[in-house]
Amino acid sequence: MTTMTDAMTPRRERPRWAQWFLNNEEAVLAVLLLALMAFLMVTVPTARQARTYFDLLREVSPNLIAAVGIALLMLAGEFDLSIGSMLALTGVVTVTVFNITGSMWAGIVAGLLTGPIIGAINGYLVTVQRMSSLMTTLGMMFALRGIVYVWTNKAPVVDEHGFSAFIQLYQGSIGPVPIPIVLGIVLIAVAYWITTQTEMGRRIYAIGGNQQAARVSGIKVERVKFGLFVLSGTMAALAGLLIAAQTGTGYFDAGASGFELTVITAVVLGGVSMQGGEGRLLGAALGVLILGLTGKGLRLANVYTTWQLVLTGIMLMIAVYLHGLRKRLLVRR
Amino acid sequence: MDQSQNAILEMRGIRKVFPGVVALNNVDFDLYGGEVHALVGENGAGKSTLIKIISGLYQRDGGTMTLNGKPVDFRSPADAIAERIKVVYQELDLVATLSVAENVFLGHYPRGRFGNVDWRELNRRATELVGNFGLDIDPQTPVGQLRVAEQQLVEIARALSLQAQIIVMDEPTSALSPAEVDKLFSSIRRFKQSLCGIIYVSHKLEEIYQVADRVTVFRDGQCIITKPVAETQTHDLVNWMVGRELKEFFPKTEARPGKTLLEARHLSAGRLHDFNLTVRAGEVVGLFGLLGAGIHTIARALFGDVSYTGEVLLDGKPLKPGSPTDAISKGLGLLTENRREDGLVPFQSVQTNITLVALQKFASGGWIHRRAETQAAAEHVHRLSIKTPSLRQKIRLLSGGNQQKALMARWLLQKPRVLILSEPTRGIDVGSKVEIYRLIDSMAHEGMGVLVMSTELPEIMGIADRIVVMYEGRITGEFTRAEATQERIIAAAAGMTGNGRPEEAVAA
Repeated sequence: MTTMTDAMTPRRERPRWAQWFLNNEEAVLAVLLLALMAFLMVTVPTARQARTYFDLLREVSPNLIAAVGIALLMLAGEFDLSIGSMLALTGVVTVTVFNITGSMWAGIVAGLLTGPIIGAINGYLVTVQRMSSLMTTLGMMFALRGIVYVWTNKAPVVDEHGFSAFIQLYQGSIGPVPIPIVLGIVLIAVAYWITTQTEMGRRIYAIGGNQQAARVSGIKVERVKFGLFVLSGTMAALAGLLIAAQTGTGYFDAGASGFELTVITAVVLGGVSMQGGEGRLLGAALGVLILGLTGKGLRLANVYTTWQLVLTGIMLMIAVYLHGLRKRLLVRR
Repeated sequence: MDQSQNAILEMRGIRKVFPGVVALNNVDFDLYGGEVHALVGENGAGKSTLIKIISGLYQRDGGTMTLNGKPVDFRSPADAIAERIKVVYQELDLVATLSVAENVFLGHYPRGRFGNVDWRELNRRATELVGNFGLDIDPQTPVGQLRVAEQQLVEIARALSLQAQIIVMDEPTSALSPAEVDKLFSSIRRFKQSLCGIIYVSHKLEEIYQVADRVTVFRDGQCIITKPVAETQTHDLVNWMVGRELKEFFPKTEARPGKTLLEARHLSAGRLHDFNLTVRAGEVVGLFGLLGAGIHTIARALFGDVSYTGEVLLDGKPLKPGSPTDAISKGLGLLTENRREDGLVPFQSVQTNITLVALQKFASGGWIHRRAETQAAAEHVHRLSIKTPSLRQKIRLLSGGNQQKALMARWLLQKPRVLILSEPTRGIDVGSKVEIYRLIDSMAHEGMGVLVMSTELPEIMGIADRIVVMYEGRITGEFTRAEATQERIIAAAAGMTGNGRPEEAVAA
């Protein structure tokens, strides 16, 4: 018997820093982001200018804003694939209303309203009619894109009044910081606060973690989900508004190159579970930045842009692998 | 029986460590062909961990394991299955959409001449295996349409179809009726003759005396003793398990019922028909019935989780049908019978799970006061002696009994006026059971109305002030604590109304 006991090797304790990284997934992402930046700074001269990063943040701000809605929805265990088509719809509606009414504010309000309206339709179909969110919003994605094509006849809708204040929404700054960046950071911060500090946040996590348990704990599951669809639509509309403000044009093809999948990829890269109930907003934001920086870096280095797709795909797979590994390491030792 | 000749499985010095817990420490265990070896112990004592090592789900951190004399090292459940080791888990792993026959032979369908599935043979053999339990099920029925008890038997039939040399049964009777248990036991006695070894895990000690040859007691990750069952007595087992003398199994104090709190009038839902019930402040009402009698549906209907016709009143105010939210806000609570499906939020912390329902109490304007929340959770973990390395531990890593206590804490924190407990001690160990009984008693003492649904007669008789018996969706008897005898209750549960009191007495 004693030999048996001797044979049992004492378990090696995991180093402190390794355990800390396991518990703080965002730290890993932050390190990755910094490493990426350092690599770019060494290899590409333009990457050493602060301007580059302001540009980057401005470019990814629509993704960041849309990611807020998507991340919250995914935490509750649902998806929204219609956000890419929403961008186009919002842009086209906004500029069309500019041209019809001659009022910038009427256009902005009308454009923004498309978000909650489409979101409410998605939410109604999913929560009341019990349709799968993946299929419902996939349908919505095609339908909205189709509507925009029919409406615009596949021609960009140009702002006839040339509202410069509208362009400022994208190009302008508050102090030194561009407006889209302020919007993105504020929204991420608010969402982070909601998920970590409020009752609503807990409800969202509980629904994603075990919907039936949430229901018998008195949480109005359908109501919360409906609200999140409306939110997701609204965030997409805001992102669409920013994109239209870049040039003052409503593009029929805005977001058509897989905007929704890019955002979902970033959110998953940031550690939000596809099954719901797990993940954090900070991670989702870092996911958006990492994807954005990868693309930007390749462009700066004059690498043919389609390589970005390859890299994005590989990074997503690595991220998903690492999440699985992390879970196994946390549970089984 | 000359057992030393044919030890199938020998485990020596087994060790397993989880973050913060030594789950198994230097455990020796062996199993002979043709024996039923019972494992008993409180939750978290290490039984499940041992089973999971045997089945390849966990890898041991130390010790040796030999199968038929040769060392084995299972890397995955597939390795164990290849050695014909089959585990029937408490939480079933059947494919709900496949038929009974397909489930029984999943992974090893009988083949026809061209490598095709021989459906006729499949169904014939499945019928035969399932028929051994006296079940009258069409083998082509999708498993999802069966009752839990029937599903459990299908799972056991699957073990038989593998011609396993080791069958592990984890709480196999937790959902079975007495008649089904008898059938199970007679099949177990039959397998023994084929020299297959059976590891039998149960919290029901009387079953061990009926079916097991030897018993091993676990406590705190260690093997305390292994003995032939015939040489032990129930109270020895309990003392070994708990490590101390259990004072009273059912700590029950005199009830002083107050005014009526919960009232169900002419409730009909599913096969329930015209159900009437009252629960008063400070009393424990026990609802007893065999599986299929509808006692669990009542819990759901009262709470608004299934739709119904009729009326449910709490303190005179009608509850909104179909709204658990409304029920909770008016002072009703429900601990469901399915811990995993609709109790736990598995990937979240013990704390988050405990404070899920009562979260509003720690929030103002939607903002959560973390410190108050943590403090309340910590108090309840302490009060219910929930074993967890920290409040931040994911709840799915706790043992069943500790999970259940955490779910109890969820409702204690909410302090409802009436709490419905559906099978509050299903699948948990003796020590945790007694603690939950004590809690129920003290809650009633403090003026809460408690309604307990249970399919276990000793439990209902031990804790209830008033017992309502159901058969096929209707009430067939009601007894005060003084009137209740085992015979009367069983007769009523079998549908013989004569022994119970007439239904007029129900309103009491």
